Amino acid sequence: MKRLILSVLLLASVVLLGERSASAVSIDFVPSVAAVNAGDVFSVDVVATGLGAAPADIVSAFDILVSFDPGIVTPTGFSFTNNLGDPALFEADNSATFGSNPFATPGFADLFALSYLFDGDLLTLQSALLSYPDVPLATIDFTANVGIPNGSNPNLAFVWDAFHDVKGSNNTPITVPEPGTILLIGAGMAGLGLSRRRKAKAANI
Amino acid sequence: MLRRGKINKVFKFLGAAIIAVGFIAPPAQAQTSSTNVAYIQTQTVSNGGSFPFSSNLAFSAFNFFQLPYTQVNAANLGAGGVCGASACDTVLLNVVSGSVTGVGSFYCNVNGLLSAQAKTDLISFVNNGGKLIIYDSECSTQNYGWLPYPFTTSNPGAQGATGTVSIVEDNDLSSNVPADTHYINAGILGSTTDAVGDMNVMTTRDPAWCLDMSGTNVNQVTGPTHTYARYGNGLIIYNGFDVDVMNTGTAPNPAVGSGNLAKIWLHELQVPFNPSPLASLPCGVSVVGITLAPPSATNDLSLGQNSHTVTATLKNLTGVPQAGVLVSFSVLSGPNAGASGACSADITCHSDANGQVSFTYSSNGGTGNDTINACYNDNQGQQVCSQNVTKDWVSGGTKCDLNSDGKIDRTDIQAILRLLHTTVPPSSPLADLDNNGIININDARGCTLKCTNARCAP
Repeated sequence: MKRLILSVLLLASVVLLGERSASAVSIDFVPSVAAVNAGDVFSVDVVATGLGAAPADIVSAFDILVSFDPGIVTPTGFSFTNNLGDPALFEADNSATFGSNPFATPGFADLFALSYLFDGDLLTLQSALLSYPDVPLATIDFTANVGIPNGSNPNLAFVWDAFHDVKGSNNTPITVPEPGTILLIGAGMAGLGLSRRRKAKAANI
Repeated sequence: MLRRGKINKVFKFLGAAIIAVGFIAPPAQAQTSSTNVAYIQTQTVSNGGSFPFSSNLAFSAFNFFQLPYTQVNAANLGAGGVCGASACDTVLLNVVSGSVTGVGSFYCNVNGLLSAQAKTDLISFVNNGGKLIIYDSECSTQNYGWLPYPFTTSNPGAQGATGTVSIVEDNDLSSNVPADTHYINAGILGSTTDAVGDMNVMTTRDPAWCLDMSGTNVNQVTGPTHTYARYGNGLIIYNGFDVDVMNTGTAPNPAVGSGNLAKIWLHELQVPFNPSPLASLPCGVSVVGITLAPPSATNDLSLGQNSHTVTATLKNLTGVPQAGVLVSFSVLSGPNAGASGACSADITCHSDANGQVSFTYSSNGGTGNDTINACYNDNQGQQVCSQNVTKDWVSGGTKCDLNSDGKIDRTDIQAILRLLHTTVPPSSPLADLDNNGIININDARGCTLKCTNARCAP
């Protein structure tokens, strides 16, 4: 029975990793799941990863909708990086709707930023980052309402629809994996790791 | 054991992931119903009666949170305030509240006891998309001069009288149609309870208030008693009924007098807002008796759309169309201010059997926003005017140039950003660069690449 379970998880990993490899660029949470106690404040970065393959070699604009479980976490703050330009120098504009805005839809945070820079200027700016080809975009601060390691999960996920997108070079949309895919990859990888441990132990006997 | 534990963890994680995927849904633009309701300041009505809250099965979908009148402010209405981690989306202003611990009575003194800041914050709450529901059952006349649309009322007080009330507009608050889920039996409500005879009715009116129900109270004053008004993205509802027959356990039921009051209360909580769609609340009849439509529109002059027609509808307070009334139309401001036009179907600008008369005028070619209204003289010879409506004249020659100043710059891009997540119409087609009917980040960045100057400098 266990072998069957692990085989299913392994197969899921292979299938989903195949999907991911087809999407060179993705938008991720870093870290993907935080381990904190009730009342702790923790931050999650929103990062574009895997840039470098034209036409999605930069992020020129984004409008990102993040869903979360308001029973488990409460958003308390946000900040944007200057990786799309410095708003103080009129190189970019950004805004967010959640938390202190009493009219934000519960369980969702909307963040958008837009660069006024040319694509070439953005490539110079972003490729100079030490993290490149990963480009941090924003940070969301949360307070944990419950202890997350104790069987809870904030269920952080991106919601992509007609109003939410990430733009690369020449205003081309950046391909991103479905939010559920991200979560399932985690489960599949766990299964893969466990399977390898079992085989290693069997070989030692 | 260690492996089994890990397998269990994997399954827990996988299960959580599947559940998460299954329940992720995009938020709606408009809120389909109230969820978190702050009530000022008691559930009970000091003149008699009480509001059904969550313990009543029909109202279990809503969360209710007490907000003493001394603590009404933006912070308490926002996230982390009285409604908890999620912000309040609705406020019940129970003008007939008694005392709560540490706070004196709020009884029928809404203007005197609410602080200036509290009033400002409540109005701001509505402007930003919140819903404000006002009840002043059997109170003396209240001062609502602090509302964005002030009004005064005729208040009979506690007389225990019956009366007549009419549903003027079938909408999501009430309907005359028995098969409609929003059905209210106005006859039973008026004849078997004192809800109508003792009701408060508007006597001075602002055209922004839309008429849902009107009737005649025991003082023989006829006027609007259940009205609504959009303000910003939000909604204000005024309910002048005497609610002393409604209690915490009253079930919404149109076959019972008190059940109709509970059903109206339920509809008030359920009606969509932020903003309220016209399909739910059409505002077909303004409380002043004259309504002008459409409320806003955009014409693209480059497509030959160089004329505009507005239609005035005249109805009395029971919703009966008024024929033969002379109506005057005015373009109050904008590029075509003072423009003359032609009336139809009656060329002398008198309303027809449906109470309607239309007015068409032509653009002089300028772009910008016209403001229009329509007026008539009532039986006392006093001029009564409709709400203002607008017409946006644009020229489709330059997408992204929202202010039509001949260049695309940061001002235009920021105007597009303010329109994010809206649809065309009513949003400007000039902002919809890709012509897909919605304004999103693709339009904003696409227009940025068309800026006249580097970095979209003005």
